[in-house]
Amino acid sequence: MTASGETAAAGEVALRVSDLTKHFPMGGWGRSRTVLRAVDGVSLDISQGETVGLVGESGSGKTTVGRTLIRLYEPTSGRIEFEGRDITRASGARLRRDVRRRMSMVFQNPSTSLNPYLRLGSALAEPLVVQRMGDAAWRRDRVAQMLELVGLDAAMASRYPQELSGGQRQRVGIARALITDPSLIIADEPTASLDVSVQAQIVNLLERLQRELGLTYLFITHDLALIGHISHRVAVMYLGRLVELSPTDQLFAEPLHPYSAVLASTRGTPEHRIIPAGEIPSPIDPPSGCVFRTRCPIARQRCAAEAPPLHQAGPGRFVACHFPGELGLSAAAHSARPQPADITFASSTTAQPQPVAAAPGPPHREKG
Amino acid sequence: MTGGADILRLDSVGVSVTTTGGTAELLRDVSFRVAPGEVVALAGESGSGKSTALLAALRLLAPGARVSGSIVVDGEDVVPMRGKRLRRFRAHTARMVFQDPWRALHPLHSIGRQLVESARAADPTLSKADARALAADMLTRVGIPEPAARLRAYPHEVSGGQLQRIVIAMALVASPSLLLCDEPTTALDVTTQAQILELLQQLNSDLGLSIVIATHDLDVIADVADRLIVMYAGAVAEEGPTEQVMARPQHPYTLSLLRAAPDRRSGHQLAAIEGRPPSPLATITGCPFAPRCEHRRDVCATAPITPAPLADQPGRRSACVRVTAGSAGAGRPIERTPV
Repeated sequence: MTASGETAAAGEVALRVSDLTKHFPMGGWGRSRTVLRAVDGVSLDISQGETVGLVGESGSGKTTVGRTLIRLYEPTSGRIEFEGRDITRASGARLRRDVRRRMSMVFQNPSTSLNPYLRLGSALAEPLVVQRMGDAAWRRDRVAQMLELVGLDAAMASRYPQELSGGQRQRVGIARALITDPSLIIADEPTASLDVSVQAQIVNLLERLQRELGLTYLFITHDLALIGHISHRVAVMYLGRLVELSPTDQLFAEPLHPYSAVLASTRGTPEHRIIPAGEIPSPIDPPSGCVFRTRCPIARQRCAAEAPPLHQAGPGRFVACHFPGELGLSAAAHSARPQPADITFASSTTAQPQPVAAAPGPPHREKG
Repeated sequence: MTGGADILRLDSVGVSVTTTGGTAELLRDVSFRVAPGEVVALAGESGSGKSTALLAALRLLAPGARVSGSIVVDGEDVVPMRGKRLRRFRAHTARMVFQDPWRALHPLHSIGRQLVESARAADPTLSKADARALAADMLTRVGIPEPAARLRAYPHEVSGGQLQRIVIAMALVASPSLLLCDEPTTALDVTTQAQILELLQQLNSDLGLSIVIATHDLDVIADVADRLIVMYAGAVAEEGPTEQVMARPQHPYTLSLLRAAPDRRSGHQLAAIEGRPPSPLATITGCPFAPRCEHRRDVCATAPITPAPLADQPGRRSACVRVTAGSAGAGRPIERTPV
């Protein structure tokens, strides 16, 4: 918590999260009452125009963090400041104006996040209606403008979601997120349900929109290659805790937390891979002390006794580990796979580039 | 490539289904072989036909699907199989591991009961007690601690990674000659993914099990598979030893796919492939990738859909005519594409 103020990069702080906790009651009374600690004491600052990648396994609490920040969930404790305002307990008109208009979410599955019975135009205009922005004519213009911004035809507004491909639907999902002119986008696995070639289109679109509109992104994903590509800083979560926060390059080159080292090693060659023992423990009954100790290759007695707090371990680097940097990567482990070589084509086939569109060319004269 | 001893062999296999929109061609003239003890990856995006090829090999396609060509598994042609022989083939010869382990197991039956059923379906002479012992044995082999306790557990009590191991064990109790895996790690976390792939690799080297893995993630499979078959629009685009295909692809689609994947270098744009694959309802003439290909020429419009062997690279095939046109001749003149 003390460290979070210094984590901010050069830009102005857009979002400041201090000691955020979200517990879900799991039933039971009195002593038998059980609680799922989905998010436990997360502190994080995000600067204007920055992309912070949030990674972790399923069950690590990354999605809960995203949903609590946009206040789909009520935080159990802690503080969320957004654009200089405390939004931790905002409700009613304040919630709508200060949070929902300025912060929006892109969901994982564009097939289930769009209402199949609404034309895309109505689905896109809905946030504007809720926010009471503009009149019907203005909203129609705004919808058309947004569709074009994300690379779709404005005429798509009269279509239904099932007429679109997965990639097109996710473009609509992005257009809907941007329509109220927000400054922060929380993208929760936005490309996980798309094919690689379409994923690349969506990632390029998100990057272009960030440059053009100065957006701030919290990018939630389990895909490490993608997070390495898109984010400036990476926050690593494990079992509800933030275990490391570092600039992207440094996280992959010299991870400080053993769990970050495990993640960073999975993209290397198999000999250098660090595979942790066992599986992620239950967040209902987390281990004492450090939550990663049950799977950590370098765990010692101290790890079971005291929980390591998130502390600064270098410029811009924060880690929650008693022995940061001890489990390093061997030099060979972070050599990325080489790019494939170009194709050599037979020269007999190089002539006559085919026109891109099937435009009627001059009549082709054939001999004989 | 070995001759008649292939464990799996597809020869000019076509699969089509009739829908309200017309006839959908799911597989178009697909041929490939898997030798005993080999690990082969079928890679491609959704709709490429990789899962259809696996389902066709196991005769698990939906009723109404028309299959042409021949599919031979362990010396038996599976296309005309019916009744008892088909049941025995599915129970014993070839087994499948699906993407989602939660859906592959019955939620109301104990894990032990399902493993015993699987073992006795493959070998009806096995007693219940023997089948249970075999099941416990297999759970140990796939790395499940305390197998006896696990046999009494129900699927919801077990994590995803463990459940996928159990599904693999359920296939192994039948001692199949061929294991087909459809996106076996897609539903799992990265750390668990690595564990499952390591397990498959181990089973391959310990038991000599032949494995075919369908996947969309070339990076995940690169270290496991001996050979890689890249599919596009229901057809084979190229084939070859995994390392060679990854380092020197011989089809523009493979190259685009490899370049579209994000790597850790930030700051540069990802090389997206514009457009999308053709609909299975479309009639395809020439190369199916041509409309999205930056290297297309007039010859592509009349290119055959079937890959041809590359003369100078044994074990490799490519469906790109611009690559194979030169390969047929002896001293072929070459031209490098600009980087």
